[in-house]
This record gives sequence, C-alpha cells and structure tokens, in this order.
Amino acid sequence: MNIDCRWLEQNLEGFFCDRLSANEMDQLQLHVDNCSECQGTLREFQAVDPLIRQLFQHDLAVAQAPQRVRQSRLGMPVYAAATALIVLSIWLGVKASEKPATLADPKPPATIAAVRPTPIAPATTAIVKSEGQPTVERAKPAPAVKTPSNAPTPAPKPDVDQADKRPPFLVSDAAGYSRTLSDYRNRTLIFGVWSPKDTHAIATLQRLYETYGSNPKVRILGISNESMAKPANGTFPVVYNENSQLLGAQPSDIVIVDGTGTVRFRGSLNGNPNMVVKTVNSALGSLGIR
Amino acid sequence: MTVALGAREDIDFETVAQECRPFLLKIAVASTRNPSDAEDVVQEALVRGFRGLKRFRGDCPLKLWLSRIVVRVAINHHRSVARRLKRWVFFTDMERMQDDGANIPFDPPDPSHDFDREGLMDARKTVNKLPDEFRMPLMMLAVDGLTIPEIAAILEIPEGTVKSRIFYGRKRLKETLQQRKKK
Repeated sequence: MNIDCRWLEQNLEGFFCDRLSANEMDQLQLHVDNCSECQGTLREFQAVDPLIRQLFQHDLAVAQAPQRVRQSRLGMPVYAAATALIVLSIWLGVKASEKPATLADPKPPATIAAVRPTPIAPATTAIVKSEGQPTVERAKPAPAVKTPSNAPTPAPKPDVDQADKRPPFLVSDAAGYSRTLSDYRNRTLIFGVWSPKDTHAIATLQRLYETYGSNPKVRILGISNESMAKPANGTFPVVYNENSQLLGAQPSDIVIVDGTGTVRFRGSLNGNPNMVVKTVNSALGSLGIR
Repeated sequence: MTVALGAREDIDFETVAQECRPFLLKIAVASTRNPSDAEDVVQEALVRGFRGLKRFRGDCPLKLWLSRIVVRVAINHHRSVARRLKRWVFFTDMERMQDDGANIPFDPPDPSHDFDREGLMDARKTVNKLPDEFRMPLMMLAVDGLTIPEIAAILEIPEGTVKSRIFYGRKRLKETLQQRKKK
C-alpha cells in the first residue's frame, strides 16, 4: 500500500475517526513527517479546535453571569417600578419624620388626607395607622422590588480547590480527542513527560519507541504539558496533557501503567538511554511482556 | 430532598443536582445557541428530571441521565425560540442579548494564522449555522475532560458517529472560515 497525499485526502475521515489500522497509521505518520502539504492539511483541521475551545469558554463565562443579562432583558419596566417605589418610600419616610410636627398641629389627620391627591390616599391611611412605628418599617417594600419572581435561580457555586479535582490522567491526542486510561485498557502504557528544552528526554523516548513501538501489547506516548509541535528528532506519538495529574508524573519522568490502570514503574528519562531501556525492559519482563 | 425509587436506593436529588450543576451548565452551553439561555435550560432540565425521577431506570449515572435531559430541553428551547422569531421578527432583541454577552472580550487564538481575523470574529455565527447534529458534538469536545464515549452516551449515538460528526463539523467550519478569507 502506497500512502501519499491523495490517499490521506481520501482517508482524512478515517484518520480523525480512528478507523485506520496500526500499520496504516504508522505509514501515514512517516509520510506526514516528510510532507509539508499534508502537515498543512492536518494543521488546518487542528486549528479549528482552539477556536471552538475559546468560543466555548467565552459562552460559559456568559452563562455563568445570568443575572446581568436577565436584568437587561427585563429592561425598563422593572427599573421604572423599582425607582417609583423607592421614591415613594423615601417620600413616606420624609413625611413620617415630620410626624411630631403633625401631632403638635391642632388640625385633625382627616384634613391632611383630604388635601392629598387621590392615588396616595391609601398610603396616607397607612401613615395614620402606623403612627407610633419607626420610619424604617415603611421603607420595607423597597428591597422587595429588587427580587423579581421570575429570577429564582441561584448563582452557580464556584469550583472549590480546583487543584485537587484535577483528573488523574487526561490527555488529548493529535486528532484533538480526550483520552483517559480506559482508552489504553488491556495494553501496557509507557509514557514519558517531555518538553522542547529537554532534549535528553526526547532522545530517550525515541529510543524506547524504536525498541517497543512495534509491540502490539505496548503503547508508548510522549506527553507534553503544553500543546506544541512534535520534536524534530522524534517520531513517537505525541499527546498533550489536559491539566491532569498525569498519575503524579513530573517533567522528564517515565511511568509504566499495566492493562488494569495500575502504575507498575516510575523512573526518570534523564539517565543513560541504554540504562533506561534496560530498566524498562526488566519492568516489562516482570509484567510478562517480552 | 430524598425520593424513594422502588427497590433501588433512595436518591438525594437536591445534593446530586447541586453537585452536577456546573457540569450540566457546560453541557447546556455546548447545546444551546445562545449562552444566556443555558442557565434557564439547566433549571428547566432539573425540574423535569425531578418530576420524572420515577422513570429513571438506574442503568446509567444520574448525572448522565440529567445531561440527556439538558440536551433535549436545549433542542426544544431552540425550536420554540425559532418558532417565535418566525412569528415575531424581533432581531433587535437578539442582537442586544448577544451584545450583553460580548462584554467579555472575544479574542480567539490563531497561532498558525490559517484564518483571517474577521473570520475568527464571525466564528460564533458560523458555529451557530451548523446543524445541531454537528454543532453539539463539536462544542462538547471543548468541555474539559469530556471524552468521546461520554459524548456518545449523552447524545445517545455510537462513538463512531460522534467522531464522524466532529470531523464533518470541523470540515464545514474550516471551509466556511476559509471562504470568508478568500472574499
């Protein structure tokens, strides 16, 4: 089978939908590494993902601030009613503070009621009834206006202690799909954490990939903490950490996880590559993998 | 409040709802076309979930069951809004709501410079023009930590279909944005 640019164009869906066989993926990887046109095609697809992610984060921020939007949608009527009631309560408060003078006045309260315009007449009656009560009591209706009956939803609680809630293992692959340990079930997963500056770790990972890459029972991953291009001197599969704990792995660490998701080996990529391969070999031997 | 569910264990719906709410809000944001409606969609879904709790068979986590309700409520909500808009063309209100949301600066990244700036600013319109079946899996892929099997379970479609729809969603979006660039 000859994998070229045309083949990739016809099988793009297969690549992004994980429908290619391991052999096809390996050959495709070899072709893409050497073909700038195909790299550009894949990059165009992958460039959509950060855009969607940014759009989603923006939308989420808007959704988490619903009160502001709802107020603006209710608009004028609520503001007008609230303002009118606040003004009314202040006016009533002012009138009530004038009470001692009114009491001293020989005129009966009925005369005051007669002088006032009709709409305020019930309020005046209330003043007469609650003559001995403090002014604060009359100002009570004002705060009630601020809680309209159609806004019962409480604001979402902020996530507490984000650091501890990070998933143990979550990475995204070249096609942009999130992967957890369950995706590597029944296979032994060897992953190392690399960064562009750490050339030693990249060389050791490449050495491991050349040694064990063809073993169907083993899966090798190079994980970077930031989304970045594959290193120039590395052909091992590269995935990106999605803010997970990576099972406690630090930069330049190597971890072996068995098919049940249990960590079986932890080490460093910074030693002599031959020694690292030898150590990994003995660790895999204890898991029954040759 | 606790609801008895026959032979199964009682479910403290209130606690589960509070725990799931941030996740459900993310699903609602990914499902609705207008993020301002997401909170209402979650509220409506929780009410429907509580009323229909007796129909919960317990064959999946309650969080997943509620997520499915959120998706259905979001679809129904969009349809009713679309019907209303058809009857009463009220674009000015829609624009105002969009503007309210846009108070937070929308600044999408473009590290590879594949799309022009104007096209990026129109990304929302382009995404909203995608049919629900392509848009929802694509947006759900942006929810932190949501894997393909989980998206498939929420949308009740096979995993292969989810991947295929994500691929075609990306393809359409890429083509639309590149067409804008050519213009």
